[in-house]
Amino acid sequence: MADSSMLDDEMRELLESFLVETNEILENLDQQLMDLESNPEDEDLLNSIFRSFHTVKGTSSFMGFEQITSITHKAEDVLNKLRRFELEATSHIVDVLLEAYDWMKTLVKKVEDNDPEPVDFTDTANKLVAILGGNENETASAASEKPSTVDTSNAVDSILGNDAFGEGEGDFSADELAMLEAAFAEVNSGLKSANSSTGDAQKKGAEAQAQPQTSPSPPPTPTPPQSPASQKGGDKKEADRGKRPTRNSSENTIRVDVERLESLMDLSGELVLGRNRLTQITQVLNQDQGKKADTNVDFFRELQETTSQINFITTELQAAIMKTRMVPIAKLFQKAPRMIRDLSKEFGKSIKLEMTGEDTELDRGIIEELTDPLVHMIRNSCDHGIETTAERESVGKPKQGTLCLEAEHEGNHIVIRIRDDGKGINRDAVLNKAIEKGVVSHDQAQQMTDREIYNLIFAPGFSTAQKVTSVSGRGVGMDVVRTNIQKLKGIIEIDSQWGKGSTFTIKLPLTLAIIQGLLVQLHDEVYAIPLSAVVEVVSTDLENVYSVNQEEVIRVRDDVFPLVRLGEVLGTQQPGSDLEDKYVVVVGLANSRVGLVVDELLGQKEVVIKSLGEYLGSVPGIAGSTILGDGRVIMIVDIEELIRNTKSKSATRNVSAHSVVTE
Amino acid sequence: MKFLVVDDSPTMRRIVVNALRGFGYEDLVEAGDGQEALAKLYTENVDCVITDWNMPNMNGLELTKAIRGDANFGNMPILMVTTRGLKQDIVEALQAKVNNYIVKPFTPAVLKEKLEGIL
Repeated sequence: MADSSMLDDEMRELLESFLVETNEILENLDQQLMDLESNPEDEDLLNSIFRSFHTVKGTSSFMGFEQITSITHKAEDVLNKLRRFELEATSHIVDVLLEAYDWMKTLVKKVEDNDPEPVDFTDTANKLVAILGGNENETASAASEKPSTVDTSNAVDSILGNDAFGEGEGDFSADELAMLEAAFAEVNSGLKSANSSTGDAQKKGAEAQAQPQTSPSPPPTPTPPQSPASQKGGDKKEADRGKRPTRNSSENTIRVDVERLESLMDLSGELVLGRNRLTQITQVLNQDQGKKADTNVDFFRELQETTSQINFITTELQAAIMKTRMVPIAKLFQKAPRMIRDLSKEFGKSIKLEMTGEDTELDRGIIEELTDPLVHMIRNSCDHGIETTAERESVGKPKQGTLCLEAEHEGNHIVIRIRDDGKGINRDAVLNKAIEKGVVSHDQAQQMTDREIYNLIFAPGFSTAQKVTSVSGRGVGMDVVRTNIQKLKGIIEIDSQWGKGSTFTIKLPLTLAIIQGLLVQLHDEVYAIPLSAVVEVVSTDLENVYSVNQEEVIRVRDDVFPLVRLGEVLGTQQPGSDLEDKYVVVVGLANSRVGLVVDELLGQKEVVIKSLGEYLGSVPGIAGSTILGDGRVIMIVDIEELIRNTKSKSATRNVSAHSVVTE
Repeated sequence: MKFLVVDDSPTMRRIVVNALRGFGYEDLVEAGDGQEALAKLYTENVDCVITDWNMPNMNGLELTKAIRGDANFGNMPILMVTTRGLKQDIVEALQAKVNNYIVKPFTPAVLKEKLEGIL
């Protein structure tokens, strides 16, 4: 609404509302379009898709976003034909509608970025027009239905009785406008006079007026399918079938600015600190009180009660606020269907997508960081993993390849698996490539286990693709995956069987602010190791400890990990201490693994990560601190740094970094 | 004067509400579809309905018919605001006895003019 009198902040609010609403619509629209491909006759679905384009067209026209209006208008026209079953939703039509969807997304992004540069969607627009067969006006030029009701008024009659009235879309002739004006005026005055009459007469009048319109079917006249009669039928069905689930859920949710949630998080953190202080003061007072028998006993009891109540509420409140940041992983997975659809077309492969655990919730910050890795891994599986239909048939596999996305909670972690039934990772191809690129030497290659070899694909710039495709082989490679997973303090593992397929398993902490820690003891000190980084714990069996290139390693089944004495790194222990009766905590980050030697295992605790504060600065090997229930301050081990140091140490000693730290 | 603004798009509702406020009307209620609008009509003392056509559950045309068929508020002024610019659509709206009809996008001036005509 380009009204100059409109206030600036009103416009801003409107823009915000437009963006939120449009993005919400876009979120579901591509999935709905793909659903349409398999259910081209689902009327509910067609109506819902139509409404989505329709709404965006309407609102964008008010906002003056002409390009959005233009592309949605054309798509809406196609949808209108689809929902009237004048067209069938073929794969091609869905393709073009998805193209239009992509343009909408691009354009909305431009609005968000305040980028006025127009885009050129002529190609898509032409395709839409071609689908409409160039006869978009046909619907409009069809003769109007003869009126089934006869009103007492002439102006309305003359319009309803006139077959030629209202041909075509757009401007009415002056005569037609005048007739319409008169007709509406007549309806108006009829309603107004009925209003002024009273009692039963009004009631009857209203009923009588309404009656004819609500009669279920008009007398049989030769009506074209796009006549108002069929329109009515369509709309009625739409209403009868009830709400689509996406609509339903929106009623129980509200949108909240992320910033507000962040500030709630911060405040709850502050509250925890205040609570801790309060608890401490109460304890001190309590001790004092024991010495002085004459103090007010009731007062202290009340204080204690209040303190424990506040304690309880604070804990609950913090948990509740944490939960508001959690979003279902469906948010992330929902990109997959469209990707699989486009990728299978591009590669000429037949790929089926299976998803489980879409309801699994995790922190929204994590979801954002996971988007790129997931997209890349899906591409990778479709490109390199799953074979062509011909290849699959020749080895007796089902024609259609399967890609599974799975998510589940495992304790306080989330586990995401990307599994395909393709050809698996070619061990030799990876190894040859790695040797060729100088990532590993021939000698090193001889000693490497399968898992170590698979891990080579995470090396920067690594690609085994025979030919560079538009999808994979863009030079970013699995390196991106590793970097992001590392940022999230997660770990990734590859399982692959030649000829049978590969599974990539990602394990992540549920949230980044509160973590589960494995408490370990070194001498007198207690340390916390983030549990999300812990792969397994083994006791130090001296038979499994070897020295490789002056580097101590431990063999755990088929894997070999460098051994790091935590006490040495932290400077609390002399080098080369006895390994007997100790434990090795195998920790990992992305694809790297290291074995940490500790004295005792104390158990698992939920810890809030606190920074060390500026006066301590950064301490090698320490990621932060936390406070235990008994008030003891303990240090949280920095796994990332430990692993990085171990790697560089190996590298500077010119040993086989790849046979030790697997990367 | 109390208006009921019916549209499934919150943004559209806002546009209409902003315009009405601009005319000095402050007593405004909103509904997201026809069903919700009908419920509001029973609980709020509404003087005029401004409704979209295309909505889930119960569209504007069905809402109009429902209002006209209900003795409690059969003659309620109804203004249809929609992008459905086909002439036959307008005829259909006329048939259902909407008081007037505006095709989106409209300017506040047009909305004002049409409202004055039906109130």
